[in-house]
Amino acid sequence: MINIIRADFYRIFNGKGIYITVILFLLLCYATSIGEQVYIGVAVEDLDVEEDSLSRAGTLNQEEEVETKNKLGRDIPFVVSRTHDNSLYFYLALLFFVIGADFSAGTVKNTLASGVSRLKYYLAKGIELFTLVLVFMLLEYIVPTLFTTSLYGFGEPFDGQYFTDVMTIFGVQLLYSIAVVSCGLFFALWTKKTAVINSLYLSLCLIPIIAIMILSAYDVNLLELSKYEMITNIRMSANLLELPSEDVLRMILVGVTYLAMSIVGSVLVFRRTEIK
Amino acid sequence: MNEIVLKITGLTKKYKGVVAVDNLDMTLYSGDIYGLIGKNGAGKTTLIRLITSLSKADKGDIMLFDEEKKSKLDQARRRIGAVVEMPAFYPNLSAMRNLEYYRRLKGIPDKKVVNKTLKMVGLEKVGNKKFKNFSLGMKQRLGLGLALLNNPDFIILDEPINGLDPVGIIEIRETIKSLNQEYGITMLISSHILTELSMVATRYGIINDGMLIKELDTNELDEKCKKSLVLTVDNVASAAGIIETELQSFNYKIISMQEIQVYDYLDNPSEVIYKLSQSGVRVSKFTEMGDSLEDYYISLVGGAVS
Repeated sequence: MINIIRADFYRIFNGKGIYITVILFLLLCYATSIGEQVYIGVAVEDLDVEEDSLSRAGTLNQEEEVETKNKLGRDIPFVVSRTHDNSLYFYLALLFFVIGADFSAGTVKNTLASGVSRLKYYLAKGIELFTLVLVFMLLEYIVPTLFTTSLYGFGEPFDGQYFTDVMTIFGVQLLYSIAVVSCGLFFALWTKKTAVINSLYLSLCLIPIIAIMILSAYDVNLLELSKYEMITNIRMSANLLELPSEDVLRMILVGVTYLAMSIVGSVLVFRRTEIK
Repeated sequence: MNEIVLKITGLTKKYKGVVAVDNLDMTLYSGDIYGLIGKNGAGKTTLIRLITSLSKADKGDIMLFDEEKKSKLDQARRRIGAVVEMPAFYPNLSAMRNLEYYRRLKGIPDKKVVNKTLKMVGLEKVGNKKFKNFSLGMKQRLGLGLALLNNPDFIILDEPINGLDPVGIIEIRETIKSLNQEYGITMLISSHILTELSMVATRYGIINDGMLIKELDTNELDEKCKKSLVLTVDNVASAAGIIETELQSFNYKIISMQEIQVYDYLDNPSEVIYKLSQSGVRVSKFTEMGDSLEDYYISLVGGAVS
């Protein structure tokens, strides 16, 4: 299994794709941290809104305002956690590097025909994916923090409570990130077609949350379903420290359930699948 | 007796009700070059896929190097090198990087093996060329290189000379022969090009509709494809009688109303013609014939087994 991981990392890091992905990802992290530094209010006069509506709203004749909020280095991990779900789209690239490329090139047969068991192949791919997700998440949290610290300073001293708070949110978001890519890995082993993998993965990230929003317009009780939806939980985990403990526990259990189901599904589906 | 490298018992595989491999038994011994012959859709590639675990059998057992248990079979497969269908590599990696990837994957410690392998298959000058820019023949060679990378004891080649030019075909043939003769590597080769197969194989398996209908070695094949005299005569019945009584031979076959095939007196055909002529049977034509592997295969698959 370790040989597969070493060979795959040799292949991935000898290509250009991973470096392009890292650069774009860091740009996203940079943009996220910088974006939170500036808040621009829109001049109400410029809006095409009826005058009496505006006066009722009490916002008529407000001046355009530009407000700069100087976030410090210590604030950035919490800022990043609020937009972490954007990173999921980059993890699609990781899915391609690790396993999509194998099915696209047809090289899975070479590996399995050389005496590598399907379970070992799956475990190796899983470990590679989860490792890359962890590395990307560390980049996501650390790089903007360092950048902002270099500009505006870190703020209050780095203490144990701060570290625990950050790591708690990081941990839950890591769990969900791994669960999402694990579902992507399941799609890969099930369909073995890159285009279908991409479609299913993006659908997983977009459709449930949109569907719940639409359904809850007809029945607000259906909004409860969002507690069991991954993207919503990733966004909610940014406010983890303010949530009641039962919500936190539910959030963790939901993430673990998705992860476990995707692992079991992957093993079952890959065990007997025909490899072309 | 040589060690058994591969033993297949009762192997069956169905795809949506269609039987691709049907209760197949097969044995390969150490040192064999086993030629697997069959038409398109006969089950050759399915059989190879079952042996290399790319497909799971519905019934039956596979034993590799005396290992039958699933956990040990994977270990045994590490002694195999295989090219199944079209060779597959990462298109944006060079030949060298592709082989280096597999060197690491297979845990081969010797870093020089990549260059050695490229040289063995005649690709040492294009090692830095990306796989996507390779011709079909170059891809086949690289596939063979992958099969040879870990110094296997058993190589499986599925249509290895597809797309090769005549020089390439000869080179692959010589490589196969030397690997077998110098290193004792056992081989299973499937091919449609029977003439090429007949130049390298030491045993043959003829597969049709998923069943192994005939297994024979080169001696048996020579016997089946043996040379004969084909005589065109005016009276086949009389000719048969004369061959039996005057020439004391029952080793003949009536092909048609005017043709008789005689398997004896090959070094003295004039004796046969003389005896027939003396007895009033006119011989208008005679030809020396020898069935090729192709002819034998067609005779088996096309009709009753002779």
